[in-house]
Amino acid sequence: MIRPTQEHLLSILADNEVGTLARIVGTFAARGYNIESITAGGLDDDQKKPSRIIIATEGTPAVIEQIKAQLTRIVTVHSVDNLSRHEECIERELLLIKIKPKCRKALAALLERFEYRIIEQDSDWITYELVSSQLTVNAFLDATQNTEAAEDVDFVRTGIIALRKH
Amino acid sequence: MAGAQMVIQALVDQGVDTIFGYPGGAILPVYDALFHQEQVHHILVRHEQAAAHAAEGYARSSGRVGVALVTSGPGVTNTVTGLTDALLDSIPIVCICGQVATHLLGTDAFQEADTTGITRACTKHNYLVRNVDQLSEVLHQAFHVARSGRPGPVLIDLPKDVQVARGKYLRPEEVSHYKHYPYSVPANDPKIDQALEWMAQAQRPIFYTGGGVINAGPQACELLRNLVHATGFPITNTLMGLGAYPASDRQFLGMLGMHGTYEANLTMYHCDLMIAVGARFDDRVTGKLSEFSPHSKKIHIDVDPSQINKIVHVDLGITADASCALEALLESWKHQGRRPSDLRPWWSRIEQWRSRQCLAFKQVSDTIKPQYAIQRLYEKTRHQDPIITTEVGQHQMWAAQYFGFERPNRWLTSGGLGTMGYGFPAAIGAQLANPEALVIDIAGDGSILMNLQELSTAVQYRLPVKIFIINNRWLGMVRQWQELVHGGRYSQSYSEALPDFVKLAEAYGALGLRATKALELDRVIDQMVAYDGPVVADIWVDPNQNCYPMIHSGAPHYQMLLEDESNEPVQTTEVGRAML
Repeated sequence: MIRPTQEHLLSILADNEVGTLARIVGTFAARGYNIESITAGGLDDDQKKPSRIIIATEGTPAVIEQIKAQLTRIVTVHSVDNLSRHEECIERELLLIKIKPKCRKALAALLERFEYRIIEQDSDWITYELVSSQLTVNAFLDATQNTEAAEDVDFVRTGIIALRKH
Repeated sequence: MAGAQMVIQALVDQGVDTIFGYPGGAILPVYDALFHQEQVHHILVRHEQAAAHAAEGYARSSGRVGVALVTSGPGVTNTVTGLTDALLDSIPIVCICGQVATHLLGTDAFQEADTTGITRACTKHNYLVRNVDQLSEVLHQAFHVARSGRPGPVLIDLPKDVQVARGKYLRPEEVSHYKHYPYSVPANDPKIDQALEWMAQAQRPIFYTGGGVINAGPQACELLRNLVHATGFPITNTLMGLGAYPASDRQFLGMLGMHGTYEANLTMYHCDLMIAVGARFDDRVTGKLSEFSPHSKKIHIDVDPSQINKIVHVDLGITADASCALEALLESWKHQGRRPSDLRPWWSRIEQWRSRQCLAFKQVSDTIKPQYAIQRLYEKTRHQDPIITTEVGQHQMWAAQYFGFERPNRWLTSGGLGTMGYGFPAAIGAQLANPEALVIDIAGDGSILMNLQELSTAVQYRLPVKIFIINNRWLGMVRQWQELVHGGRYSQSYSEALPDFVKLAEAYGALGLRATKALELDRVIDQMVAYDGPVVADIWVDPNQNCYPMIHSGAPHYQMLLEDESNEPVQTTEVGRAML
């Protein structure tokens, strides 16, 4: 369950066209590179502007350079920016986590350590939203795994988005 | 204008005069549009794989983009091998295929295949055109993508309703949004200076050049020749690069790699400066990576940045079109008055290796040695500047070793993918691009059966393509490896029940010839060349010949098996077998 810290975040600017994402993902699959997480979104509604795809991956500097070069070959890819050094970019990940109300007590101490928001609540489930760096999301999930409430917890995470600071 | 007419108009506007194809339900509107015009000449192949290879042969022998036109489903899946072949060898082709109508997409309709999904991994780029208004732009972009930067195959998946729908046609110059590949390098680039500095200092330099120089055009080959002459360095070519440098030149060491010459491989191993141009350090070239040219500084010039540092770490990578980089190097070398260091000691070592005469063989008995057959073919046809295509296997390597190429675009072989069945359709494509040329497919008895149906095409269009079968009754390269690596266990490599190739040729309406003895060989070659039509020449050769030199099982360049040494079966581990 514990994900290793991602070493490299690739920020890819690509045409918002059918098949672009498949080509990017296919490049990773065909050449044996690992995708730790992937997020993609158009930058406008009518698909005229390119989309931004953020891929978290791991590898030696030579492998990362090769991934960058292979991705840049794709005709619909405009640029690939390596945001590997965390101090250069802002990164966020969204976690949705729901728990059985009976577990609330067990997680209470844990929740106090993180900034969260309750976004849905009824007699069966309470759903929290946590927006933070990936490290924090990892730490939070690790902590929930260590509580007795593990089976009464369900969650989903978005994968990292990131933006260069300057 | 209807979509189908746009296809034809775009072909005309892109300067295409010949296409290769096979009709079927989902592409019929385009075939109907073809019927009404005379500008684009359509060659009906007998299998779609051959359409793709013929387009490749057309492209490689002419420097223009080759075009294949096929139907949906099985039509286009049959082209997948040709597309992959073009991808690995960087050959510019455009494949236009029919698709079921847009409202049927994704419903498992008759002859529907997920074409863009299937071909994504074997094209440089592909398009599914859902709207006729995008069609002309896609068509022009496809040609641009196919031929620019590092060339490659592009596929356009064209639903039937889009072929029928009417829209506005844009001419090539009205289309924007081309992705540009600004891979030029100015002569005053610091990297060029650095390269020249190393070149002037080198004691043991070598040029190692590949298909990228040929793709960069005849002017790149001329620049290469001038640069090699100006520096006095030795040069070796990859399988794909043969013809970029004249084979008869003293500075040429022959092909390198697994079946390369003794002198080329040892020069690569011992050099202190390697200048790689348009080559990609294929495993068939490098052998054992950890012992690949261990003492050299390496300069790598390639139009595709992903090739630099992909396999071998280089000291200086220059992303540029070969023509542009060679021009910068040559101009600055001359302009700065650079001189090479004293290369006499280096050349005297090379001459020693060369005197080993690794390609020597003795034609002694009646039985034709395959090397002799190709040597005679070369000697008897070289004055006609023939275009040679090959299939894949022993005959291909012998052709590379014994046929000398003085010019680019005269040697068409499936290098990267190693596609048996490539040579004959490629020869058909080359013949159409060069109607006056002598085009010969040097084939094996196994490979030729993979696309033999194209004899029908050659006969229909009166294409005087010659098929020169090096017939040893074996899948020779498989047999050779089984002999050397798998303890002589000849699993499924004997060609039992071979057809009578002479009668087969006659059945198709071509001329069939046969030579079974050395004395008959010259006469058969003469007859073959003199005949104005397709010929199958069945040359029965010694079935036990192996192709040497050979670098074994992921071995380094200095460990070569040679013809005249006793080559006992090599003790190979499972790991070694897997590395072959």
